[in-house]
Amino acid sequence: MQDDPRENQELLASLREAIDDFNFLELEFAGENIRLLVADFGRQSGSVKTGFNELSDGQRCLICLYMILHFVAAKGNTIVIDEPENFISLAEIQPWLMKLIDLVEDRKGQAILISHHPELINQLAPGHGVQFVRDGIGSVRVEPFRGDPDSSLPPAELVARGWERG
Amino acid sequence: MARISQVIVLAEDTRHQRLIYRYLDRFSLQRVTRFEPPPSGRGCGEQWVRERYANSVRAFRKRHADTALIVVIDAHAGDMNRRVRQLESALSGAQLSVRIAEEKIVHLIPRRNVETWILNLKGDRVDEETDFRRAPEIDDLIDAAAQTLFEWTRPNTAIPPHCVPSLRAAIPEIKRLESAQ
Repeated sequence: MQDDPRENQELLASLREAIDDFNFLELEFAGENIRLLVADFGRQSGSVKTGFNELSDGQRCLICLYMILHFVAAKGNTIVIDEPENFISLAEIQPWLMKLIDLVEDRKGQAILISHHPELINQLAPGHGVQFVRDGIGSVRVEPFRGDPDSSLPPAELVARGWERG
Repeated sequence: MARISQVIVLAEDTRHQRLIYRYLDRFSLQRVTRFEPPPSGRGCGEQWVRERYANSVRAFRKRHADTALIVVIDAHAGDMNRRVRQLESALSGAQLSVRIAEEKIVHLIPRRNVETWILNLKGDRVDEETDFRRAPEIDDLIDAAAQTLFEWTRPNTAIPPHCVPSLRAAIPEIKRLESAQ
């Protein structure tokens, strides 16, 4: 983060949009060779510093996801995340996902997301989805998500009904 | 732009979504934009938009005035007005009144499809009959297209003569977003 102040500013802007009253992150002196990562929250009336470990699971995950966005995906790298939606509120998933898709397209990177979440399935499965399938006790295969070409149901609804393989 | 706290987008596929996403970025509205998930089937996006439209308008009208609804549906080979009539018919079929000028309900109807607009916004002289869906590198042009769309929708901007009719018709539609409350 310190090596890339411009991207750091972008990260902070994203986090201010994503987390109510978030101001910034900083490393606070906590003894010789010891720094604590703290988040600053608040408005003009005063701010409060909270240790990263004291944040909620959702806040910590959001901070990490946006860091990955700005410092990995934005540089055209490949990211692999298992269930990125864990601990994230429903309203937070799509904004992060849209930003990720946009960055991956723009910077020619690659993202591999593993998820059962309807938000991710609906957004990604029709164009980019692959699914792991196994018939009976056979071996697991990877297939492109076929969905149903004639269906107006969202992809996640097809999966929920077990109709995703046509 | 008038104060908008949320934008709902009903778009037929992800390429339509990205063009709108990039356009709304110019107004810092990405964060408050919700894209309705497109359908599973490929090629049935426009039908899905028409089916969803009345419910989306109904939900929109229950919200405060700061919400906007953007509908993006390709005209394909048919007349653009045919899509307009289909949307109006969807409203009347659901016992909903027609859209009025003050409502922030925006109809964007690319003809032949959104790829026509992307190429046209890039500066290409294109017709509205040819299907450009398989044109190369389309996805790489979306951000530049969104920037041009932004410029063309600024007040008092002269629209260049190569602008296709469906895109020209979209400019006053987009300005609904900017109309006074």
